[in-house]
Formats: sequence, structure tokens, C-alpha cells
Amino acid sequence: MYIYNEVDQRLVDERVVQYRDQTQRFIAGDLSEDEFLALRLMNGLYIQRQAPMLRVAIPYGLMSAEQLRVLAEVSRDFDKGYGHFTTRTNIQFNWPKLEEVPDILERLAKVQLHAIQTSGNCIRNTTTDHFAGIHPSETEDPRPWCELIRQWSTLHPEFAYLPRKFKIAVTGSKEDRAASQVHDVGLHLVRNKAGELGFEVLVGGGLGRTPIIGKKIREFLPAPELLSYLEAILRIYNLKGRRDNKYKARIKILVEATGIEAFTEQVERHWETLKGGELRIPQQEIDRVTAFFADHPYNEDAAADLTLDEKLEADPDFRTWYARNTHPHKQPGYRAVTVSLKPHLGAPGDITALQMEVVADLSERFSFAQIRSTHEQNLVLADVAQADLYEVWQVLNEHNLARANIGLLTDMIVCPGFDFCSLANAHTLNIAEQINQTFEDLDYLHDLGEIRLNMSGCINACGHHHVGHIGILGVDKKGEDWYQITIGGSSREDASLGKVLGRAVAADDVASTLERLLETYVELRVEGERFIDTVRRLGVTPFKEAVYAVAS
Amino acid sequence: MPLLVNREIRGVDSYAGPIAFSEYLELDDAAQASIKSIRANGEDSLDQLLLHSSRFDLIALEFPIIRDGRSFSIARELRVAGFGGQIRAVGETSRDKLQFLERCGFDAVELDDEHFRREFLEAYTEISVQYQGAVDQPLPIYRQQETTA
Repeated sequence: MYIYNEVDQRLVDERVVQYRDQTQRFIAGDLSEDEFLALRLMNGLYIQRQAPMLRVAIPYGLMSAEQLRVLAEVSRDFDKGYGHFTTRTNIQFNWPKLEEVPDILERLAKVQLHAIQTSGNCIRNTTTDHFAGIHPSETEDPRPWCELIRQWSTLHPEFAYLPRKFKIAVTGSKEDRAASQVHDVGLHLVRNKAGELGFEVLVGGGLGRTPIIGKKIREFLPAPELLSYLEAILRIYNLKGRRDNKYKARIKILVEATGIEAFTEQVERHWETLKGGELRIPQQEIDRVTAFFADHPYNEDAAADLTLDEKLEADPDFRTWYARNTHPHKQPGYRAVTVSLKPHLGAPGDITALQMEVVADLSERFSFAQIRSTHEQNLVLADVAQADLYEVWQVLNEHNLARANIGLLTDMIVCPGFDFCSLANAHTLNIAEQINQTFEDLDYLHDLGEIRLNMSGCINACGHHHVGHIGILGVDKKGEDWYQITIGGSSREDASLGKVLGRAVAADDVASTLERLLETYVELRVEGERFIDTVRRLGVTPFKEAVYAVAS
Repeated sequence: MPLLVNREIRGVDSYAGPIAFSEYLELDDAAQASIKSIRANGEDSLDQLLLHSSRFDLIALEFPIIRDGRSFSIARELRVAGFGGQIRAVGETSRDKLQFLERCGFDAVELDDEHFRREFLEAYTEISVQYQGAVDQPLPIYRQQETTA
């Protein structure tokens, strides 16, 4: 992974001092609420329902064992001993004290972590495929490009006061595990006919109250021009994006209003003045950054191990976990392991300090001391030799991190909802619990197969409900929580927005509605057909009729 | 209201209360020719502003609200187009924007701040690392290293 040089370190150190000064001036009354608001947001600090919330950046979801240990330490010393992983692959602490945040940042800076631009109207943490660099079908590793974007976007003087937040996702594979089509900019690493590396560029995707799938703005952007092209897009957006209404301020609205052809022309015309200039990334720099993401020193004989098959044979629980929570690796004899942060009863994405330390330990012993966070709110140990899987499973199991549910209904993406978030209209954690209680039977879950369930507690869609195979949106109706269900969404390479199933259901009826929905699926599916594919084949109507038949 | 020019506090100002660029555009040629300073913001046509900019000694760019960052890009575009006069930030400026303003090509800032202290000038040097090229340092970090190497 990328290791800071002296310059990178200096920036985060100076940033801590700067933020400490800003906090002190605010406490002393020298800085107005409004001014401090913009500053603290650019540093990941929200004022929430219960307390401030601090969001720490995990750049493109990659962290070291040492960093995860410090996150555990921070959660213990400054919070209530746990953290929450988000769909931007960052971690949130829900209970820090405003005046202690500078101390937290200082602690984080010692291990090359920071909270810069984890909120506010600026360029946010870039996300990517959590199997980057290891997936057998990958074209190219996106992480070096994520790091180049990280540096370019960090404290960019021109783009700190954008109309609204700006999110970029990069993929390096035909499969999209980064929801790139619902980002302000989606970048797909590709090779052209001449074999040169470049990006297919999408713009104007997003969720929130106006969900839109991103549109192609450029078929092939030569890779060294990545930053000049991003700068062209950002400059047009900064100048022309709406500022009169925060709900119409994202670039997707600008792209829709301008039309993709006209918008493309504006960007391309401006880019003409930038390309080939200072922003073109020299090969030397590309090589320097790429070298940080070179393959680990894998054991070439890892596949010769015979113990895995024995353990799989002998232990059905291990076998189930192996099938669900481990994934193919390009190196023979290795697997990627998903650490499930979706236990039976517990807030999705939450992790205790002890669990963080357990995962850090495991990564040091078995996965080259690196951990990844996924936008689906789990962790990944990306490089585990097959001979070690049994032990990894045992340790994870002991610490409630091995629920064999990855990709299944209970592997839900869920925002913190009304319990924590001041934007939320409805609770989400109680609904997640209700679903967990109803769908407890693992055999049934496995029979239902791959289902992406995403839930948001308000229209801002932090839980990506529009692109869930099943989406649940909490709404407030006269002081009561109601839930609107959509089906047919996807954030993958076949991205689509879910369609509303019917009228919203009361809080107590969410799980039973899902039961009827899924019973209908089981009746209608053809052999081997996933839920999403059945919905795509038949449309919403048969599901709607079956689900609402009872009540009417 | 302190005025900073090239990081120095100026007491007296030669700034003659420029007219809005939109008003300037409505004047006839002769009247336009006598105008040496104007104020503009994100609502004005950037193309027009660039077209006329060589006539001005001073362009004041407005920050109508804290969250409006359009003038950062406008200043950058003016400097890239070769504008050599003063670009002054007015409106919702603040100590914590000083460094970004300078990086984008502003050489002057009006600070409407009752708390103004000389220490505000430290804001210019709080962060010594510049990853991206801008007006003050056109080279991004990887080319800065190239030059020093």
C-alpha cells in the first residue's frame, strides 16, 4: 500500500495544527458557527443527534494493521469502544467530544490517517473495488490511480467550496464492485485497441432524492491525462453547478439540465486547454505510485496444500463459510476473505475495538498486514493462503465476525438512521434487527441466494436503497416511521434503479412484507435464477400483486 | 475592514468602489474605456469577463455567501488568461480561505472581520505542502519533485 513520504506526512501534521487552531478559535468565540461549520465539515466532523460524529478517511478502503489498531485505540480512548464503517469505506465514530477531535487527529496522523474531506462540499474519499489487485479477472489495479486522485484532490484550493459534495469511484475490472455508475464521476480502467491504458469516464451518476445512472462522457481517456480531465469536469461544475438549492446542486442535476452532449462539449473544450500540460502525470510518477501496490511475496506452493479440502470435508460450518465469505484470488492457493460486519443482531457495519484488534492480528499473521473496507460495510482480508483459512475462520467465528452471509439477504447495507443521524427521518437499525430475526434460518437464506438489501433512513440515500435488489427507504408520516420498498435495483455493471413495489408499509410490517415478496420469488423463479433476474424478467407487477393481496 | 495586499495589511485603499461588471457592460464604448476597476461574481459571464479583462487594473471578485466558491475558479481563469492586475476577494472572505485564495490567483483580500488580528497572516503558511498545481505554484507535486531533483 501507499506509504507517506516526508511531504505527505508534513501535510497531515500541519493539517492537525491548523484544525486545532480552528477549533480553539471556535471555542473562544472568534469563529462564527457558519464559518466553523464549513471548516469542520471539510474535516469530517458533523454535529449529530446525540453528539458530534467524526468520519475518518480510509483512502480507497485500504488500511494497514497498524492503522486499524490505532482506530481501535481511538474508539476506546475517545469514543464508546466501537466504530461504524460506511458506504464510502470510511469509519465513523459516533461519540467524540468536539474539543478532543484535534487530539484524535493527532493520534491518527501518526499512522498516516486523517479526516480531510470526509464531508463537506468538496471532493470526498475515492472508492474502488475491494478486490482490487487480486481479482482473477481484473484488467488493471485501480489503486495507484486512486492514490493519484487522493493527492490531487487533497486541499485542492479551487474545489473546497463546490456546489455540493463530489464522489469518485474507480474500477479496474469488467465487474463493478464499486457502484461506479452512481457516482459523480465513475472511472473504468480499460485498454484500447493499441493496448494503451486509459479510462472510460462516466459523469453525473448519483443517488439521493434524484437517483441517476452516470452517463458516458468519454470512451477512452489516456491514463496520464486523468487529473487534467477531472480538473476540467470539476471546474465546469464549480462554475456552473446550481447553488440556489442544495438538493439540485450535485453535478448530476447540471448534467441533466445541460444535456450530456452539451456538457461533454463544454468539458472537452476546456480540457483542450489543459491536456498535455502540467497536470499530465509523468510515467515516472505513475511508476512510483504503482510500485507501492506491487504483488505481495506470495507463497508459490500455496496451492499444494491438502489440508483445506480435509477441513472442508470435515466441517460443514466451515464449508458454508468458505462458500459464502471467501472469494477467488489471482494467485493459486490464495483466497480473499470477507469479514462479516453483519452479525445476527447488531448494527450493520459496526465493529468493536476488540474486533478491530482481532482483525488487525489476523491480517498480520495471515494477510500481509493489510485490511480493506468495502462499500458494502464489511472488511476484507485479501490475501489468505488456503492452508490458513480454517484458522482464520475459527478466530473470526469466536469474535462474531464469521456469519456466513456475504451477498445474502442479511448482508444489508444500512445507514445509522434516526438513532444517530440528524438528517434521518426514520429508524433503520430496528428494522435491520427485525429482518435478522425473521430471516434467521441460514438454509433458507442460502436458498434465496444472492440478494442485495439496502436501507436508508431518509431520502439522502446513504444506504444506497435505490440500487439494492431490494431497497428500503424510511419515511416519516405524521411522526411515524414508514418504509417504502423498491425492487430491481443494482449498483453493479448492470446498474439499474429499483422500482417502487407499492404503498409504504408500517415499521412492524417490513419483515413480513419481505417474506411475502421472497415467497413470491421462490414460486416464480426458474432454476438457478437470482432474485434480481426474476424481477427483471417479470417486472414489478406479480410481486406487487402477491405482496399486497393479503391486505386488500 | 482590513485590506490585505500581497500578504500585507493596507490601511489606505485606492479602491474606488468599482461598478458591477453587469453595469459596465451596459455602458457605451467611451464610458467603458474610463472604467479601470469592476466587481464580478459567479453570475457574470466568464467569457465576457475574460474578453474585457485586459482593460482593468483591478477586478474584485465577490463571495456572496460562505458556501459560494465560484470566484476561486474565476480568479484562476483570469490569471491563466494573463490578467496581471489586482484580483481582490470581497464579501464572505475569511482567514481560513486566505491560502486557497492566494493559490487561485487572488493577490488582495478584504476581510470584513471584527476579530481581525495580525496573526491572521499566519494562515498563508499553515500548510506548506501543495499537491496540486495552481496559480501560485503551477506545478503539481510530482513535477515539483522533478524540478528539485
